[in-house]
Amino acid sequence: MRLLEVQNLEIQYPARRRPFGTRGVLRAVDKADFDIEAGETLGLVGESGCGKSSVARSLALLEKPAGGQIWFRGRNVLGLNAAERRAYRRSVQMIFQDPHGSLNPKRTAGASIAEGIEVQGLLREPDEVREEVLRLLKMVGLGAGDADRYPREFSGGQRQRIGIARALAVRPELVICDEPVSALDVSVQAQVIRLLRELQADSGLSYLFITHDLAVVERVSHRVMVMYLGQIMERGPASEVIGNPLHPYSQLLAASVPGTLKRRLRSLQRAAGDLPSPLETPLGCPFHSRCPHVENRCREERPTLKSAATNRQVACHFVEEIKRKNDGETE
Amino acid sequence: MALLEVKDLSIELEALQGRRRLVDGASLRIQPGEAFCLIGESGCGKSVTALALTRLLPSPPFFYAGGRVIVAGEDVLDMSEREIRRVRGGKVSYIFQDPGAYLNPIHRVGRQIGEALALHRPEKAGESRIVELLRLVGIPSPQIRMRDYPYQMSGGMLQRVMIAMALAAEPRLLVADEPTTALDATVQSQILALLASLRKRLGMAVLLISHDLGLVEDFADRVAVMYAGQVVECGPAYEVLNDPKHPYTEGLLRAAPRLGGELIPIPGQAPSADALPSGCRFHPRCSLARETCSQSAPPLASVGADRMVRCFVRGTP
Repeated sequence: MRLLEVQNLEIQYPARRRPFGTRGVLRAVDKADFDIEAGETLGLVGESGCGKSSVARSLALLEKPAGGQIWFRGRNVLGLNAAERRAYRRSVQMIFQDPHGSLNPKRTAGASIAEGIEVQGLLREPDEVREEVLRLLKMVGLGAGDADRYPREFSGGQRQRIGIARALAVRPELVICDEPVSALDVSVQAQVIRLLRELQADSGLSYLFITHDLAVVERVSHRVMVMYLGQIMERGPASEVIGNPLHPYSQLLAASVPGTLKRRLRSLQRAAGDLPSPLETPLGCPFHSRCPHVENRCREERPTLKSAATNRQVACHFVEEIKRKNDGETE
Repeated sequence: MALLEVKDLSIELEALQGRRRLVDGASLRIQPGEAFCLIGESGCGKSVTALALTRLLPSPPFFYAGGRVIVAGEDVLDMSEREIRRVRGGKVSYIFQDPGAYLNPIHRVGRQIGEALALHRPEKAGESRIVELLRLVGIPSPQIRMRDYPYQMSGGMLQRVMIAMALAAEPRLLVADEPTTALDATVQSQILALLASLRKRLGMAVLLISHDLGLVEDFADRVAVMYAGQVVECGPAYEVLNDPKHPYTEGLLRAAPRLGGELIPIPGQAPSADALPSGCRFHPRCSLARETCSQSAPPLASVGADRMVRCFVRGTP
C-alpha cells in the first residue's frame, strides 16, 4: 500500500545574492513528485544544496512548503488539525547525521529514548516506560546498563544507535534518515546500515534514506531518486538507477564513486566545473552548465520527468539518444 | 634515497589523565614522486603522524617520544626552529580537509598565494606566477578569480586555491589530509584527478591521508593502514587491496560500501588511546584471534618483498 505520496512539492527560502542586496527567492525544491510504499526504502541521492534535506524537513513538518501536497495514508498532511498533526509526527520520525548534535548532553540515553514515549503518552507507568526503553536498547544492540549513561560516554556509532532507538520508541511507520552514516567510520557504518535493514525486515518500517553516497544508497534502497539543484533528475529501482544510470548527472555521480571499476563510466569524462549556487540556478535544465551532452534546447527549456523505461523516469530531453548510445556501447 | 623516512616514530600527548601514546612506533618510507596513501579511521593517529613530519605539533602538550623523521636526508626532529621553517612549506606542504578554514576571509586569494611565494620563492613572486599557479590547478580565468575573496568561491575552488598555495613553494612532498572529505562526490573526483595529474607533471610525491580505502585504488602506488596508533600493514596498493594480510585491512575492505558489494561490518569499535587492549590492539575485534594475540603484541613483520604486516596469524610469509 502507498504510505506517503508527495505531489508538486515546492520549498522556497528568502535569500539575498549578496550582503544587503535585493531579496530573491531560493527554490530549494522545485515541483517534486514521489511516493513511498509501506515497508519500502526510498533512497534520495544528491550533492549539497540539491534540496534533499529540505524535502526531509518538510515531510517531518519542520518546514512549511511553498506549494504542493503531502498525502500520508490517503490524508492530506498539510491540512491536518493540531491533534492530527501530533499523531502524524508520531508516525514519521527522523534520524540525523550528527549523533553528537542531536542528543541532549545532559540527559541519559534512557531519558532521551523515553522522552518521545512520555510526550506522546504511549505508556504512563514509569516501570512500563523503563521496560520499553530497555527493550529498545536491546533492539539496537546496546545493553541495559547503557540506559543510565550520558551521550559523551558513547562512541559515534553507539550514539547513532541511541538516535535510532529514540526514533523507533514511538513506533513510527516512516523513518526519515538524513545522512545517518555519513559521520561514522567505515567499519561502524556497515554495522548501522545492517541494523537499519534488520529493523525494517522485522517491523515493516519504511525509510526515506537521504545520502550523498551512491554506494551506500545502493545497499539500502529499493528505489532511488536523484536530485540536482532542487529537481528530481532520475527515479527508478535502485540497482538500475545506480548500475545503469540514464541521466547524465546520475552517470557523473556513479562515475565519481571512488574505487569503482566502472571504467566505461569513468571515460565518460569528469564534468567540468562545480555545482552552481542554488541562488543562480541556470535557466533551462539545471545541469546544462556541466552536462557533456548539452544542446541549445537544454539552455532554454526545462525538462520534466518522463518515463524512460519500466518504472523509470528521467528528466532529460535527450534520454532516448543516451539510451541508444549506452546500448551501443554495451554490445 | 627515500624522500621521506619515518622510523619507529612515537608521539605522546600530555593530558590530565597522564600521557597517552597517540602514535606508537610508526614507520613509513616514501620515494620521490610516489603516490602514497595512509589509511585509517578517526583517532588512529594518521593526522598526528602527518603533522609530525614537519614538527607542526606543539610541544608541550605533544611529545616526540622516540624515532626519527628524515626528510630528504635531514632529521626533522633535531632541527632548530629556523631550519625547520625551510622544510615546512619549502619541502613539505600541506592541504587539509576544510579549505575555507585555512584561508583568510578578508584577503583576496591571489594575495594569499603571493604570501606563500614571497616566503619560499621570493625570486618568482609576482602576479604572473600567481596566475600561472591558479591555471595549473584548473581555475578558469585566473586573472579575474585571483581577485576573489574566499567567500566568493565554492568548496572545490577553495581546495584548488589551497593546492595552488601549497605548490607555490614547489615542495617535494605534498601532504593531503582528507582533502576531499568535505567536498561533494563529483567535485571530490575532480580534485583527486587534479592531485594525480599534478604529481605526474611536477614530479612531487603525494601523501594522501584518508579514511576511505576506495581512494587507494584510484590514486596510490603504495599504502599503509593504521589502527589504534600503529601501522598494521603496508605494501604496494594493488597487492594490499587484492590480497590484504591484516584482518583489519580485510575487514575494512568488506565493510566499505562498494557498488554491487555486500556489507560486512567489523564487530565492536576502535579503542581509544587511553584504554588500549593488551597484546594485539585489534584482537578484541578479530575473528582470527588466538590466545597469544591477547598476551603479547605482534611486531610489524616482513611478508614478502615490500610488504609488512603486524599480525601473529598472518605475519608469516
